[in-house]
Amino acid sequence: MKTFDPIRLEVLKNAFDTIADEMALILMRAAYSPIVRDSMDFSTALCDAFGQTLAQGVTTPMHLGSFYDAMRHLLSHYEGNIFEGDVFIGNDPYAAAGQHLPDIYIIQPIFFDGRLVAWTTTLAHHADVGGIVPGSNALGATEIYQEGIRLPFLKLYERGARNASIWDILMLNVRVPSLVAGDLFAQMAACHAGQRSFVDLLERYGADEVLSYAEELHNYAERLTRAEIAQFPDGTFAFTDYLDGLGKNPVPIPITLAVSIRGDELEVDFTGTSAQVKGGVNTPLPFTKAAVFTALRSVMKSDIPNCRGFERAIRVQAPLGTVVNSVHPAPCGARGITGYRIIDAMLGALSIPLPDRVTADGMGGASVPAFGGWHDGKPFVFSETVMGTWGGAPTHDGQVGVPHMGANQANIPVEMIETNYPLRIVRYEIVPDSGGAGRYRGGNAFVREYEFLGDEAVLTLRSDKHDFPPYGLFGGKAGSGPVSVLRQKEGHEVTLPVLVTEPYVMKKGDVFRHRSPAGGGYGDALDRPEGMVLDDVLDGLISEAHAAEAFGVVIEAGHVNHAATAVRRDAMKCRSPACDS
Amino acid sequence: MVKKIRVASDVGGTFTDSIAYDEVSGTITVSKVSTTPENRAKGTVEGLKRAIDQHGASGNEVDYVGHGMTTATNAVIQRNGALTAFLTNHGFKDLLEIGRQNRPTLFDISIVKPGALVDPELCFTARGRIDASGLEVEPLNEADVIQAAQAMHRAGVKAVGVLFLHSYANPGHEQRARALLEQHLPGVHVCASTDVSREFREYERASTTVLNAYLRPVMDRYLRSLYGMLVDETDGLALRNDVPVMVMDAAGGLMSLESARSRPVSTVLSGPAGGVVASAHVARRAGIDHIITMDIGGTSTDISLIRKGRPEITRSAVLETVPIRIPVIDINAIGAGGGSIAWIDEGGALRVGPMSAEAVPGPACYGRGGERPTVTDANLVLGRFDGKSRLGGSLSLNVEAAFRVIRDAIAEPLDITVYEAAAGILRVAHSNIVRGIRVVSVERGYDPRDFALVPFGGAGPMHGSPVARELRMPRVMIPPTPGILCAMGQLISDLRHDFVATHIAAYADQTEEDMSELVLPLVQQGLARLEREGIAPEQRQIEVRLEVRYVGQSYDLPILVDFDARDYWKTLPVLFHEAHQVRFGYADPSAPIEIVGINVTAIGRIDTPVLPSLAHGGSTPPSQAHAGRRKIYFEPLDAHAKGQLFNTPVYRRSELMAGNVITGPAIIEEVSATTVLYPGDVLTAHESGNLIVEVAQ
Repeated sequence: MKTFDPIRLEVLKNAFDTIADEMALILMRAAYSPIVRDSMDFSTALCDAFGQTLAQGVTTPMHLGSFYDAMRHLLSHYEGNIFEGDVFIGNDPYAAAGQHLPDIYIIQPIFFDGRLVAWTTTLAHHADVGGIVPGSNALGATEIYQEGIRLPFLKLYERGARNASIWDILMLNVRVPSLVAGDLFAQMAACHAGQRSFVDLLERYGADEVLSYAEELHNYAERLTRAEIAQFPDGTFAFTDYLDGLGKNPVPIPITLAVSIRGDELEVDFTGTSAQVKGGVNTPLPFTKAAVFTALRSVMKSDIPNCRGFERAIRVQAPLGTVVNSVHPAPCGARGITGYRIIDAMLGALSIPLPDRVTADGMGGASVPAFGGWHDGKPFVFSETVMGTWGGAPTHDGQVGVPHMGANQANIPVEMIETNYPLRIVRYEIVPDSGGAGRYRGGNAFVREYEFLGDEAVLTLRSDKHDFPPYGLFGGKAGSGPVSVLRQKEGHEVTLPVLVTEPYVMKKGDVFRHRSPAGGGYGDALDRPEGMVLDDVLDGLISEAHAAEAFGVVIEAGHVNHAATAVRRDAMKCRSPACDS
Repeated sequence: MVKKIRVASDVGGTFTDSIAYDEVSGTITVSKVSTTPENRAKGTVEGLKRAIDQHGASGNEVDYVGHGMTTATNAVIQRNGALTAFLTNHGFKDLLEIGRQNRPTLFDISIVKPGALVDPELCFTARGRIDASGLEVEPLNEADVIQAAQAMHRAGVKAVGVLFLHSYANPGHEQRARALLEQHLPGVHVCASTDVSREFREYERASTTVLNAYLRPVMDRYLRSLYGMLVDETDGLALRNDVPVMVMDAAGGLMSLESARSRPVSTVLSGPAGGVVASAHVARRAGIDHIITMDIGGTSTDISLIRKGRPEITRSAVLETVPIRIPVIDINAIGAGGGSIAWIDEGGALRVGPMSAEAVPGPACYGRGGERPTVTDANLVLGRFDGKSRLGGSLSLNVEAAFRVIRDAIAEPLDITVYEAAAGILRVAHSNIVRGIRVVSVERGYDPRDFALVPFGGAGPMHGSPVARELRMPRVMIPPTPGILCAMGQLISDLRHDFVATHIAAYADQTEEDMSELVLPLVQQGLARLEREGIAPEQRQIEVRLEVRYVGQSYDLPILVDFDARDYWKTLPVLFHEAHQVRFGYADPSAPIEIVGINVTAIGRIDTPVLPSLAHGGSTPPSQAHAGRRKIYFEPLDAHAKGQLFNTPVYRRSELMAGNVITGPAIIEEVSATTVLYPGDVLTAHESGNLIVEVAQ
């Protein structure tokens, strides 16, 4: 190949990114369901003829790089049988290299002068694909057959003609066919627009020119990635984080990994991780990789294009049949929680070589309460992703009201919930004293209380980090764990497990209260300047008692007692192992 | 000779632009002075004086003053608004802190969400609840409110924002709390959420309310000072006190000084609005309805799309992560401007931005210590504008410095010539802007090829042709005085007030009568407001938009209805399906639709001046328009050819006549900007004063 023109490369990279972004905008705008529109739980990409991602509109970080495995799967089945006007559909983790069943791929080939030159691909989380619970993400599922309709890659359209059989079977198997159909149309509209823009580009610059730069783009991204990795210290860095486990008698599920850095290569090995479990938290390998990529992107400084080249310097090894590389028929509807934990474990391992580029542990991803039942003679289902507490960082306190690295989802306005569902939000506030103490404090937990106003509903919850609360780093303390309580109208209180596999019944007037985990601290709390501790007390983020107990700062009537603080901090230091030196 | 002079000024972060238009002689004068941050009113009066002087007139001959400013925007960016408290429902003390929980960047842990405008210790709660239908669930606990007022008093707050859940459905608790607070906090500005917005979504409404409260004392002080200086006969402008002074709002409408004082939040983001309104206005004069505006500044480029002569209005804007729910012109800002820095990344690609040289040190050619090449340096090296010309009136430019930094940082590492490097910087910068324009058009369902590109800002007309070509847009229109177009917007805009209500109900469950009953009070409010402002009945106009969506969708489209016509209700679904088809590429006429909101705009036409027309000439520009030739480097149109130097003719815009045709390469210079015609572009001077360029494809 001729030497590349760095100006042309940048111009075409911009053009590829624009196409992926346009597709994302169109998909989001045209989608029906709030999960796509408001939670941005979808992704779009432009891939080359071999299925390698050229550009991805990253809306949900944990979809990063997830198209390549699906495309390889598709190509291996359809090579030689791909025509202009085809549209492919698929969702199965095992028969289509999918993510979990609610995530449906819509993929369209792009032809130019009769030649297959590229693909536009989309992935969207659909509101329902059948199975034992509305929303199709039952924690209590024991095999994938309970989770909904399974689609290998099929031609939803062949040479422009819709396959009515596939469409009809799909629509019959989902609880909300109009939402699913609307979102599928949105995905197809996005693919179509991407195709049009890419053909435009080929016409303007010439097909051979554009395609040769597509290849150069992978090399460029790989160079950037390797240059980053080369700056990381060499070595092998191990870490284990845990999911508390399923149901009322949880058995811990370890996520064990080792990050090995050698020169400009990086490998992540999950040997030691729990075997797959009988519950919907197993993750197929493509999703595990996406979580690994997300964690790595967050410690890299360069603005690396979201293309296949980025992944070439990174190897992910996960033994088959584990919770991070599940095999048929492991259920994986609620695998998001495991993805968050993979990222947490990755950042724990990376904190050893890269202490300045990670934060202490946060709340561990969204808590997802779900309420379903009947009200005014109509069925309703309400669930939301509530999140937003980080661990302390190298230069600032843990943030509150900011989602986990793996996601970027908004909360739902209280006024909207109360307008549409038989629920009243009684409280949504930050909990003082809950963040882990440290030089930089972990973010405080928040609490959200739901009063049920209908006749009867069932309640489930996906949360975590009760038995293994968010870890602190470099002497910082762990954040507090979650508390989930159902207060029945008669005054009886029931504490819920973190991962609810058997739903709880709610009656009119019952109140469900969920307090999130809080972030871990970063660095020794005794090194936190007195003034910062005082500010926290004045802002109501910590109490005077907590200031003294956790930070050794004695505050009296709005002022620091310096002498008493010095004495107290000295005494606390001498109880810590660091005092030996 | 009698004069009829209208003036306007636009106060930006660095410069204050002024314009004075004498309707009798049809002449426009402009001035550019440095903004005076200690009191922006000073620079405003100074700039206006200079513009008026050029007419040989004085301040008491002025009949109209328009004003646009970034005072409110700056107060938010610099966090120097008033000490503000917040009162809300019991259980929601941290509403402002938690927000909507979005993260500002996906992967960068070092970027922290800025704190709320109100400190946690100044957030208070009171018991009492209203439900979604407006019914009282629990009465307001007035003792809680009074206790909060006492704490606010002790803290010395200057302003208070109040939001109670579902106040859009029943503002009773909010109004009572506001009255109690005003009673216990004399001299403090108290703002209830329903005073600024009646839309649901508590966080956005709270944020808008708090921002309004936060800005009120600041804006009150500024506008008093400004008016005082305008009418001051000795040191000020000596304006007659019967002359209207109008302030630009973010939706591109004008508001009275009084309105601006009580609703300062409406002036946030108004800076770029004037240019968009002026573009739409001058394009209509040239018979062009569909345009995309491109305002290139030092650090960013503002992009906006106008169809049928109407700027698109949105109600969800964000300033420094503070969401604002007010009508604003839909403007997309991207981080590419004259000061964007060019660099080579570790992968070997030439990048431009997102870092900017800002005003200080600025581009290398400014000679203020800038050592990194910028887009402005590239333009200078390529000869696109004259090194001896003065940017903004105070700088002479150092071509050698620009040449040196491009050579050292780009050309030598890439082993290409300095010209190729400079042209490469422009191509990459253009591809960034192209991306922004595509996003704006595609997101709204339009193809940029159906629009004319209107570049403005001092640098805009240098980049219009190549950006349009990359987007395959056939035409570029250079407006008059492109460097100070924002100020012109304040001369030609209308009074505008928006009234918005949340109302969620299925279309099938309502009749035209039901809907009219809800719309009519808003219409009457609008008309009453215009009447109070002295707008004659024939100059009043009402626009009604219903916000409609398919049942089950979570976003809506505003549909303009002909409220005075019978059967507007019947035609609504048809209009909605059409709009949906345009915007999203599909429509489903069989699917049920619902209404989610009502938006009434009251427009008061103040008699807009007629802008001057160019005298007609032949197709050849008159000899006095010629200003010599310059050697200018152009990158090739064909993506595969090499660039070359052209001995390029330079023209004076002020001497061009309607009908003059110029074929590129050519340069057209004027006081506020430089237009670059690429080889093959064909420019025609239009009698409307615009330059219309057919872009070589």
